[in-house]
Amino acid sequence: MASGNMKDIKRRIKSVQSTMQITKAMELVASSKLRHARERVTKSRPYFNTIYKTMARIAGDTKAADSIYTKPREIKKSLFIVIAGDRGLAGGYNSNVLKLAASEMQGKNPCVVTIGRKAQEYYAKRDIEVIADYPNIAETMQIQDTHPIVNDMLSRYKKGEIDEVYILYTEFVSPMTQEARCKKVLPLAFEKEENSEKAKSLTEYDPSPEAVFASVVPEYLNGMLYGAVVESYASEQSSRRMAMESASDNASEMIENLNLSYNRARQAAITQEITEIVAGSGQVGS
Amino acid sequence: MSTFHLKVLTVDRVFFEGDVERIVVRTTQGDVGILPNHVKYLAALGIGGLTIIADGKSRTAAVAGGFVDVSKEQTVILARTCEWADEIDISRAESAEERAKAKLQQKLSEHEQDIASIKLRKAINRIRIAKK
Repeated sequence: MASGNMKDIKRRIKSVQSTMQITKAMELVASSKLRHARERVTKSRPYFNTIYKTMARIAGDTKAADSIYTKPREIKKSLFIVIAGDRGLAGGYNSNVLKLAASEMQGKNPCVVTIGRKAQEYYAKRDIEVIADYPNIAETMQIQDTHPIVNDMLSRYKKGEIDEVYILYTEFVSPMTQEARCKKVLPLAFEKEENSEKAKSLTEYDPSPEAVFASVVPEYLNGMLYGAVVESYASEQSSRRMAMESASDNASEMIENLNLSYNRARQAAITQEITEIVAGSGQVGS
Repeated sequence: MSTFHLKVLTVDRVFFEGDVERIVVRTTQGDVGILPNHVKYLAALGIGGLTIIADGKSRTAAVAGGFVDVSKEQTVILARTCEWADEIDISRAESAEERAKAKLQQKLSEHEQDIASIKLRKAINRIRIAKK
């Protein structure tokens, strides 16, 4: 009986150990990917910030005020671009952004474009119109990859098939914190102060404000989308690394406890054996 | 000689940052030269060259897409793609040119044709800049 117990414990230790090996390996993979991803985030941020500021300034310029990109319209259909991971086991990463998406969609007539396999799988099972899926692009994302997504979105927007566009992504705040965010990208909306700052600029547009605006807006959307994907990817790796780190920690704690009970069981078995021998020899001797 | 501050950014790097004397950049309307104290100016970029003149030396890069934004404090070029002339891999650009030409021979939808002709123009531009 005691030896059976010991065997059980031994088996459990083995299984926890092999799980730990996997989580450890995943942790290492995630940290190396995270390094690359963070580099990409740092490199894209200057562009990201500048294009945002420039766009805010142009949008504030009175000449651009009645373009179709800025004019608010009656909202009949909202497009949500949901960026999630391609793989699971990343802590709360996927579920956080999907949960936020669900709450943002409330009371709206939504359709979605998914980026990442987890988002694709999630919306495939739900009663929400999916316009397009883009799985497995986040890791090797390049700026050219955003063009088909943005072009499709803009042509739908111009045709009036969709009336507003949101991007749902996860912001990489620090390696320890990632936050799911929802950003409205169309119609263009910027915070007031940035608008009023240089509202009366006497900028010369070549060839015309409309033409410049029409070519800058797609540029801006591409930049925003690229930035959102890059941020999300870094967040995914970071949250996977954290999840795997705590899984490894839990596994090693479990192994420690199991080792303790194993030793106890072994000790109990030995004690019992000695008792039996002593009792047996006592009987023979008497 | 007076200078102005120039920043050239692409999504994956800060391509150039520093004080320059003069730049010439290809907008959708043609080449535009920018000198210090230029009026506020905003234009979309075409496919062409960007020449930066600083400290009496000039450097050329191939640029495709994006826009240039001149303000009082600085000039910012946000480019879709941007490469220094000496970074361009000519053989790669030439094979891209061949591919785009071959593509244009086929029967294509209007959209695909647009893409192929833009690719061709980009490839030709890169070769031209690299060989300058």
